[in-house]
Amino acid sequence: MSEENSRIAVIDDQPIFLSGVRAEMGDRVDVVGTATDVEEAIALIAAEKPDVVLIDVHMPGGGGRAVIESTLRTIPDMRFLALSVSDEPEDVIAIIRAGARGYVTKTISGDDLVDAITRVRAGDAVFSPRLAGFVLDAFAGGGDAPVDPELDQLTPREQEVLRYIARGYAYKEIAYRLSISPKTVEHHVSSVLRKLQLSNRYELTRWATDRRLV
Amino acid sequence: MTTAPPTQTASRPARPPLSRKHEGRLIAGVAAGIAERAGVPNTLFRVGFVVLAALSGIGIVGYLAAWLLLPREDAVATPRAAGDVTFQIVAIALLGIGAFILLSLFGVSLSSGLIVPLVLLGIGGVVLWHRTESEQRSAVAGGALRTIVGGRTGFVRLLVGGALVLVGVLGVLVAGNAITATLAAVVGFALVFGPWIWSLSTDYMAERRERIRSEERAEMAAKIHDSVLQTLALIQRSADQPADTVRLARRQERELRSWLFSADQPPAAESLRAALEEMAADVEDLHDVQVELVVVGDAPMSEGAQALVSAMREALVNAAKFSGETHVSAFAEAEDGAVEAFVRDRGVGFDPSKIDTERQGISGSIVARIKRAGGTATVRSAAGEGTEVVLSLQLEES
Repeated sequence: MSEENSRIAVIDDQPIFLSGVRAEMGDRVDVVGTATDVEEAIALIAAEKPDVVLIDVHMPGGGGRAVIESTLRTIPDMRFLALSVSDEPEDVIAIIRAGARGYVTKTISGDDLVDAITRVRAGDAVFSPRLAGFVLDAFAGGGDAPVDPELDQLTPREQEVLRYIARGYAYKEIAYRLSISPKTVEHHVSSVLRKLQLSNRYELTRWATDRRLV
Repeated sequence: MTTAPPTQTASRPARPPLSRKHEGRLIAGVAAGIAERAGVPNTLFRVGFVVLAALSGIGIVGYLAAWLLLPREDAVATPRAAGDVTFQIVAIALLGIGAFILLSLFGVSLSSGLIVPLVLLGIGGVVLWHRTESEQRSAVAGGALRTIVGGRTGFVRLLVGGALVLVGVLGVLVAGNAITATLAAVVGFALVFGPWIWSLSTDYMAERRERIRSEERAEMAAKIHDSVLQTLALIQRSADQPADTVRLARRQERELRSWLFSADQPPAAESLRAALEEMAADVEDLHDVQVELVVVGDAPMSEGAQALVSAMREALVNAAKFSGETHVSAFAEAEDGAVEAFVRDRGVGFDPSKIDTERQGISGSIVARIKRAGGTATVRSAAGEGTEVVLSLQLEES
């Protein structure tokens, strides 16, 4: 682990989860504050400026998405890691498009969560196998012709990396398999994250508009 | 782009009731109120009123009528007092005058014989359609129909209004030509039976909505009783067996999730994705292992697809039994009639050249099964490095 613990804020309207997450991560992270609603969360983040914000997707009053969008307007480099019990594609895609740098489900183990927090803090993207699967689905061939080929399509290498993630490989294992450095793997994943956030590809916008999110 | 502000369509409030706006009014807020209701800039209506006023004076008449007829914005919620009926009558009279001016503007002159019947028709309509405050309240409580035919005042009003309308129509029939007579008959009919038909249809709609809602509620209650409550009871009884508790919770989570989110998913017998999900859930239940299944794309079920599901199942069970891990990843990608599948654990692994007979049998059954279906299967493993089974299969000739 790094020499200094990550300072994190936890935003969730479920008190059980809040205390559970604290207990599981123990002293490997410093929880600088918790909030249970949107206004409280925005104020907490502005006051504490944590390294990483763990945020629940489904919160009353506009949800995690509202917190992310409002915070990024004033603190553009704040890092969010989204957590949810739901892994419905439209929820995942919507929260990533709002600006979160990763998505994990709440059943994740304490170790994996600490690892994900460290990676998000370092500016990397955290893709769970499920998220990788959704992205492969969303960018799958066919459909409409890409408007912006740079943003609307994944390169063969990016697809390859995502397939390995979906198969349960860690970044280091992927790097070993593809004979590239872990940094390069991270670069590919970050590039996929960017495309996921900026692309106007039909499937992505449809997921969001289905829920009237865009 | 990513942080695009929500557009108006996202959460536009319900259209406000027709009323006079207090905020942003010029005279009485009529134009602003109508414009807000219609969702267009209020300049449009202001200019319209002014132009009409300049042309013929009908703009002024119409504006005054609307002033009297429309409630003030902040008064919309409160029911109108009974005394307001005089206001209404004045307003309708003004509207009538406006209509005459408008007709004469277009060169239609009404013979004086028509005016009296038309006025009678108008008053009859007001009597039939007007509702007092108490009636509005009872309409909310007990259906709209009763307020029109029920009660003594309602009956009297029906008689008086109907008679007025009838006389009016007859007057037009006597004084007018064929066209005005037909028009008068239609208007009369609508005035007398309109409230009835209208209230019947609103009654019916309200009843229908209520029925649908209570059916949904009953279905939800039954579902929760059969699943969640049963599971909670089981969990309470097996609280001292953590493995069982976790398994019960996971199964319930899966069930609830598939009920909440995948109502429109095809059954397992038709879709490879659904079959894989069912198979993975089964393995989780039977072998105390967590399967992280990711499926990309989908394909119709076929003999080949069934072979793939069975082979993946063998691989997952194998991992659950021998890897020593409680977490197994499974990934399947179906595209263009071909499918690739991977089952991977990070467990103890083994040296493929020195495997015991039981294991050889199992991996043999995976390999043999896929070969029979015309695909390939490879098992990659090394002691201490986990195991990965890779399956590849052409599902349909292309």
